[in-house]
Amino acid sequence: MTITFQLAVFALIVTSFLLVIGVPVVLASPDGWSSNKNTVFSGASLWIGLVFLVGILNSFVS
Amino acid sequence: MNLEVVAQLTVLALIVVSGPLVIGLLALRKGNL
Repeated sequence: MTITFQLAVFALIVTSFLLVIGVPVVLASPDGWSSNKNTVFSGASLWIGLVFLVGILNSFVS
Repeated sequence: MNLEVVAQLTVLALIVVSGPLVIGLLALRKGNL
């Protein structure tokens, strides 16, 4: 269970880093939003899911 | 230096690096800086 939790936290950190880089780049690029809207929404959905997953898994470790 | 400190410094480095990275990527793509 601990390794699952650690992998989820790692995935959350990686996703957060990619979103921190990607969202402002997409929003400020010319014609970026209309062509990358689905990617941003998918990343945001994944991030929200990971937050809840980490919160739930936290109850099962230690 | 134990693993926790290394992990904390690594995440801090990611945060610090992300700012100039955004500026660089936008400059590369001729974005609205």
